[in-house]
Amino acid sequence: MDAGIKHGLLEASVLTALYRQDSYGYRIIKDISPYMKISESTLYPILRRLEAGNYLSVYSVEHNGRLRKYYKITQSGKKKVIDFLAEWDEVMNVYKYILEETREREDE
Amino acid sequence: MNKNEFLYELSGRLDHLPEEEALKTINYYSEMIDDRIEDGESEEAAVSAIGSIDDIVLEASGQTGEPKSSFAKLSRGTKALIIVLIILSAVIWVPVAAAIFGILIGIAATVISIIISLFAVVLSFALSAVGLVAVTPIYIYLGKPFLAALAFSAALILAGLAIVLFIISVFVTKKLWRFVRFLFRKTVEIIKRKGRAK
Repeated sequence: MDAGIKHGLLEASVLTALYRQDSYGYRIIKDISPYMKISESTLYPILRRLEAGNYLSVYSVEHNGRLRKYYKITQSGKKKVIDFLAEWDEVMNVYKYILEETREREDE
Repeated sequence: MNKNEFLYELSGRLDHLPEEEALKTINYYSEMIDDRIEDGESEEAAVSAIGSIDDIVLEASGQTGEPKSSFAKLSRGTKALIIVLIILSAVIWVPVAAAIFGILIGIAATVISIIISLFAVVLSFALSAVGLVAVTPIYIYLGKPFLAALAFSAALILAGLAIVLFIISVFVTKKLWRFVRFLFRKTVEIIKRKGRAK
């Protein structure tokens, strides 16, 4: 997949995993894995970038004697997801056009 | 590899990063390993699932907008030592730098004075020519045609010389100027190269 597209999809997916409830690293990976290939080392820079852009915030919770980092989506983060959907609406239109124009037609 | 070995090697590989960055990265991966173990994986399996340390180091470095200069890749301790050494050795390199700078200025000043003298000569020839042309009709008026002719031909000769000398001066000026600029640029380049080697 194109690197830029993949990057955008991953960012949106991570935010989506946080959309309805706060979550933590390993669970985010499990949530996204059915849809996109993502590893801990791929996730890490994405989380750092999203935090730097204020799309999510971080807090720690004690769990089984250790500290677990939880991520919480912000208002800007939610807006980023909505913008993503709008942008890909356009993409879907172009996709449909290309699909329609290039598929084999029975009557040709 | 077990968790402690993994984290130990990772922290070693990250020591070119600022302390806070390295710490955050290590905590993140420690947490990831713990979560996998909690999920039922063995410690060995969790560590190998995390990915290769090479990849992690690559990602972590790229993330902080790490400058690719070889100075930045040194460990924190080495960087500090080098900076201290540079400051201490200032006693030596500051006067040397000043001397080099002084020499360059001297060369530039010499070149400028050469150029000025060249054009001064051109100007004097030209002015003399003009003066002699002006004097010619006076001689004619005074009834000394020979002197007039002498003056006029001298004027022509001087004018010709002035023009030739002017062309030569312009040419020489360009060459000298290019030479001075080249010297300055070379000096800056050498300084940069020495700086990078540090």
